[in-house]
Amino acid sequence: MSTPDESLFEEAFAEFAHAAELMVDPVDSAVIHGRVRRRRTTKGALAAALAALIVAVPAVWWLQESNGQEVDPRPAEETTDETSTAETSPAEGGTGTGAVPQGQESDVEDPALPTFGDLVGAEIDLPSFGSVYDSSCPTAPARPSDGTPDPESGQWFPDVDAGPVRLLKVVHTTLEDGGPVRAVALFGCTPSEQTIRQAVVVAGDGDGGWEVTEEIAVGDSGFALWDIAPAATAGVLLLVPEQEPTGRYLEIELDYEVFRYRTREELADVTADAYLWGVTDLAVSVEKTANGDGTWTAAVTVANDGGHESQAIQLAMCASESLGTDGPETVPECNGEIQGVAVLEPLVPGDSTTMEWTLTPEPFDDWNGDEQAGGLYFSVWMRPVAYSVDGFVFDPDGENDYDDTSIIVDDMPTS
Amino acid sequence: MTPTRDSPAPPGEGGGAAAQLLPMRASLEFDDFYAANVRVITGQIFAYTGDRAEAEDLVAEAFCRALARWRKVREYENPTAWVRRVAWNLATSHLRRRGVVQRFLNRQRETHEKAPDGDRVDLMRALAGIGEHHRKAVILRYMAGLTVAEIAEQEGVAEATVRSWLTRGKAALAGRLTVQDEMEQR
Repeated sequence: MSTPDESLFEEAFAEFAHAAELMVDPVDSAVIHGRVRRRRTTKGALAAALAALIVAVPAVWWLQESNGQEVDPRPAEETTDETSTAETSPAEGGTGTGAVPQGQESDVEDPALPTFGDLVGAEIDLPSFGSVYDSSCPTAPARPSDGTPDPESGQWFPDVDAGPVRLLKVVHTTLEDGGPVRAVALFGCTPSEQTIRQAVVVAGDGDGGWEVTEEIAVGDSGFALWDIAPAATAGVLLLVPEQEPTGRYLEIELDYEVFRYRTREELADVTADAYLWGVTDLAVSVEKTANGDGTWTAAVTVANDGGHESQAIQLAMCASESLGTDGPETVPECNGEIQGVAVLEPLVPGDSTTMEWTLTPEPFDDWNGDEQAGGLYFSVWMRPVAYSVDGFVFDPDGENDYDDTSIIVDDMPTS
Repeated sequence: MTPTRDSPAPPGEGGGAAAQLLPMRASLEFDDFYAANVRVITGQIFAYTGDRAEAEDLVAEAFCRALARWRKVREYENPTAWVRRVAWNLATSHLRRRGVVQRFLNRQRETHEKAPDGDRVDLMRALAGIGEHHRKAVILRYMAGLTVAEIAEQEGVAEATVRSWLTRGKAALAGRLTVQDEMEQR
């Protein structure tokens, strides 16, 4: 294959560069200033979030004053998807009341409390995710699908064909001092690239079904509700990153806030006091070392670089077709789908775990065209298993959740 | 023909007293720097990723990072190179994260954007079909106008590696453009 004259390249690319510059439409510098300002000013984000909530949920409980700050240590036990002693299902003759007066929800005595499994596939009327999303996220009624991928079977994404409205989590907690245990459910829907979530209180309707008895929060672009967790004393905590973490072009470090909801109270900002078990920066890195025999060792290290204990961690990997891999887990070929290969134990801050794979490339002449041009890749993704426990699960820094190593032609021995 | 060059460093570069500038002046300086560079860098990232909106987002993020530490970045010998490197790192990480070449090719076929015409389409498609390192090297050399040494520094590789990327990239590009020409002539 011959290479054309240098001047032809320069000429063609000069014209192309000019055309590309005219085609793009960068944002105004004021937008850049605004983004940087917002990242620096969490107070502003709090005000915006509260304003959005007040508009979205015009209920009397927002108008009440908080009882003041309260330290929220981590809960003593995990209770995700477990039936507590306080709960009874409708099938078991639960005592949930069917007709709950608006605004008097907390006066219900011993309502039936749904578990996660009770709500998957059940018909339930939910608040709208936003009027523009009513057709793609039907809520009257919704039939929620299981929105949690199964990490043990390698699922990375939930089954998108199971239904648009997905159930993500159910926690049982009291919502006022001395009050009864309630079930708070987190639902999500992804009408476009980004997911919207809402948190509601759900109880038996007295007729074998389920109904929403309190609307806690519906997320939107100004309030990226991500996760819920029971407060240690009373109430439910809401974890709200500065931007929706999924469906973004960029994986960047996100600031976040934690709010506490209690019945008849305003949302309280408890970011400084809430327990942050499960909210930590996890990082993955891949180091390649030549073994001198035509193979390389890829050391994959997952580290907890944050300040809190993590939850379980899912690892996904793939390798180019012409790259043989031998290690503790089978590595699938890169075919466009991210596939989980392992679930790692939680890590305490500062701790890390390292696994090694031996990489054996096929002879260069056997590589396909893309591989010869771009090299052989060994790619690794990592994330905490979201919605897997009652506490929060969140990695605020997405910049270090992916790494790879490659073997290119220059690495290969010349014959 | 002279290759496209990034704009020179912004006003005030290198002066110790400049660090004492009032915030408003620093802000205006950044705005000038942004205006002088954003289209050039976005055009390069667009050529690399094949997705205009994505390129705009990636470059906006790079400039956000520059603004967040502007007092430091503006003192660098070449702030433009710093932003360009951040944008390219973001783009590279993003492309690999999302499934690399196949997604890129699919996106090229499915694009609903107003496409460039004629030879520019050919060049865009041909770029999409060559390897990541080769594509990057060719764009940095012929769109950003960087020397081999500058590309090597940005990418953290030896100059010899960049030379091999360029040689293979140009050959692959020429091959793809030739094939397209032949197909169109039939």
